[in-house]
Amino acid sequence: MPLEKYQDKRHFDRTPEPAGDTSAHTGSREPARVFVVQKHAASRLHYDFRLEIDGVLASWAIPKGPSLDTKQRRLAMHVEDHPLEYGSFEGTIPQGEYGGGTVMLWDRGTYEPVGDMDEEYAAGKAFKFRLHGEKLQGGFTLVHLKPREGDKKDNSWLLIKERDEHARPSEGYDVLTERPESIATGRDLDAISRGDAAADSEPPPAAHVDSPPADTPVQLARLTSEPPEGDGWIREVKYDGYRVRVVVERGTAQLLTRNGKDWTDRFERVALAASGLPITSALLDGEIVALNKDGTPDFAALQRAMSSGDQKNLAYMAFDLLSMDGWDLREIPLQERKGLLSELLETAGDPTGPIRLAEGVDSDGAAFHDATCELGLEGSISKRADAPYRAGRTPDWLKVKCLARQEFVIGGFTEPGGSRAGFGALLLGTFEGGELRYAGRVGTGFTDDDLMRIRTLLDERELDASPFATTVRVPGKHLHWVRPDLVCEVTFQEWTTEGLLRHPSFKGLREDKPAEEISRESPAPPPAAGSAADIAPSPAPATDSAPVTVAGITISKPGKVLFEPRSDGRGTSASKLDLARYYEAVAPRMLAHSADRPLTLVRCPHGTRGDCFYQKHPDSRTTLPALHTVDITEHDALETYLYLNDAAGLVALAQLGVLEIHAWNSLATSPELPDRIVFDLDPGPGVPWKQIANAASLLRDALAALDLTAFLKATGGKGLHVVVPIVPDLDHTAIRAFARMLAERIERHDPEHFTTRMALSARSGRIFIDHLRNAHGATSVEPFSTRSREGAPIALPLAWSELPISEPFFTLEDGIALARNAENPWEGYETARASITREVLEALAALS
Amino acid sequence: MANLLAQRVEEVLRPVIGTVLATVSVDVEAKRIGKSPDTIERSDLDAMADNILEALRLVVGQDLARAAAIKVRDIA
Repeated sequence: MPLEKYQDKRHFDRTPEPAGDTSAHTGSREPARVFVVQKHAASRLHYDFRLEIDGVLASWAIPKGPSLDTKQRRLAMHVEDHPLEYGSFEGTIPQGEYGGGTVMLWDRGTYEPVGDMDEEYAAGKAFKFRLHGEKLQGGFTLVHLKPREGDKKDNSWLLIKERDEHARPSEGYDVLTERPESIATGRDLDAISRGDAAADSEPPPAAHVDSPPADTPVQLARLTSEPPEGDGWIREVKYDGYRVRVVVERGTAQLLTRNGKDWTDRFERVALAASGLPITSALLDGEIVALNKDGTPDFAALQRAMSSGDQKNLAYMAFDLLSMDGWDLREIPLQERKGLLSELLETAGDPTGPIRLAEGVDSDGAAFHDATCELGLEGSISKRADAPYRAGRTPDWLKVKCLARQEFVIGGFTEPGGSRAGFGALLLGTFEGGELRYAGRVGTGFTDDDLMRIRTLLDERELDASPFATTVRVPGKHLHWVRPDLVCEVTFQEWTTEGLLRHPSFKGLREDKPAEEISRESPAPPPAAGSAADIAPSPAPATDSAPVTVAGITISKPGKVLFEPRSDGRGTSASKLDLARYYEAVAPRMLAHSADRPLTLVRCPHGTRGDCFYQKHPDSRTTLPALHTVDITEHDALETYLYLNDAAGLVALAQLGVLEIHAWNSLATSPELPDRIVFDLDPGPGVPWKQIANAASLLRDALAALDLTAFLKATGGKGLHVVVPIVPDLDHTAIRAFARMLAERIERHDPEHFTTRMALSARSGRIFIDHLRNAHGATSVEPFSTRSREGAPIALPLAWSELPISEPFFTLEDGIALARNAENPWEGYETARASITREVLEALAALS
Repeated sequence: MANLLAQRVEEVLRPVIGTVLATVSVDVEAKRIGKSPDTIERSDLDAMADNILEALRLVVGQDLARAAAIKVRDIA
């Protein structure tokens, strides 16, 4: 019985601890599992770390407590399982009872097992998991230590923080000392021991005495693609201004930016109004905005106002109150903080004065967001009504923008052309993994004043060499490089597949944001619909290292570069996320040809510069719901192949580092009956492109003479494919024989330019008509598939009118453009299916 | 500059949708009927109230939107 040891040790008529309901312990609950850490002042202070496994709380006592430092391996003594109800216990166990002393709920949340965690735990092996708590987050490992020789106890483990975005060196941040309080009540051990009421019982609720320091880091919103739905969210306008905290202290006010810069002098009117607030001290959080005549905040107008010193249209939109009259309000729910803020500002009077309340609206998320966009505002923010104020980017605040817009670091500029003064365009980048990556250039949106003012700032920063880690190509322009510490805000239409900005427009410099914090923003999907209270903290934001979901598939290490750029500038570099999004975009067109076909994959887990290998059969890594398997008889044995039938399947291949997708000519449902014929025109050394194009036309005409319709495909390599859709009524052997006959007929017709022999010696100056692509189990690259080469070339369906006159190089962007184009170069593919009948064979024999 | 009527409409909307949305909504609704916040008249308030009801219905729900529209009509 799982709780037998736990119950044996306790007298439940003398201790407030829960007895536990053994009848409930019939298996793990899905989907979210809980974890809890209890600070326990027993005979020695320690931390009890508990994970829900199989319906109970598996437990470890950690003498030194958990750590977010990857170098600190904390001894964890495995102790008896505890009931799930114990996860909410906070109180005092009487002295003399087992574990007598005070228990604090120090942290709690949910966790995700990694791999076969349950089996590994059951076998006493090391296992991994990801925590989503208030204080502990990210990956952890519990490692089981072998007992020392002669030691009968086998309960020693180590709790180790994994390297990820939540790891923090203990020199800079010790979670035990920084966050000593109860996560449930805000109390310390003494208050729990005394039986004090929860810290939220007296005014202000849950507040602590002692104001937070003025330089308390601000809470930031995560970017999501859509607002969260459901109750429990407060909707606010996303203001187009500067984030500023106002520190009020005995009739004076100080305005501080996110970086702690003192901007009191720059916004004297706001500071003056704040100093008159009817309160001894306060810490407000909000944004300075400039309001247009129509009432919309305007960032460009804000910049102009700051330059000119004209402050009459500036206002401070206060949206949060972190402290008031010496009370730290950060732990109380947002709804209550906003109530106190509203009271404070109402008593101050003028709702249209320099300090205004940024009201929250109880609204449907999508309707509110749509309204902000229709009214020309920047976007909306949804905030959990019941959440405390937490520094950093948290899932409690979610922002959605109406237009693509973000900050970029300026790394260079081009000379102005014509009569323009200042500069031509700014060269922009974002910091990814410590490197400045080029993101494109912006040359519009500047006033004449901007051009001159920014040029002065650029000249002060000029460098001899590029600060970008990636290639910057601006044909025909003289490039200047600058020290990358200026930040500007830009709106743009979208990111191109090359990772560059499409149609960017300058909005203004951001003096309040440090350059090193600027990275590419990727909107995460919103949390699932439901009450905010029901939604567990969402995963980490989309960064280079945090997983991103595309078409329902989790893309780990999304920023990992899979395709390096080519030295000749053709094509593009592309990350794993780029590849996943590419396949999501082209899926509708690609699946029309590639769905349900047994696959052979070229996997390059470390990208084009790493080792690649062919994979024909599934393994443990390909066991994903989006990838299916089919058993096919080959050489009297059953062989298992992968196939896919939706966008998730294609994206799953990107997640696996598949850089080429090859497929059979038959479907998984009838693998013995091909439904297409593929001729690969593979040029030998010295064959000019024109000869390849002519060969494709010749083959098309020959097939037309047999009443067969041919379709053209650029392979992404050196050759072309000619594809013939057929009715699947003959087996591979028959179709291969037909293909060989036709190829040999063409070879006989023009032996100077064609060969059907694979040997390289036979191919010099000739085109090898590869009919072997039609054998049982043979494959060819699928239309829209990438090729595992630098620059990320792709195979692409083409209309005959598009037959290239020189060697083509199609990019991810070309593939997406084609997939979105209403015109299909392979229009009529399905209706063109024909059978290879006796008449066709007779016509072939009659070809001269 | 919004005239007194526009300011009154804004005051009605402010507790419902907040300061910024209230100001911008008055501007948008005035323009929708061919006016601006400084030229609206009492005779325009019925039409503005109808449009405000429609615009706010999805944002804050039917009840609040209707209450706001009634208050706008009452200004007249």
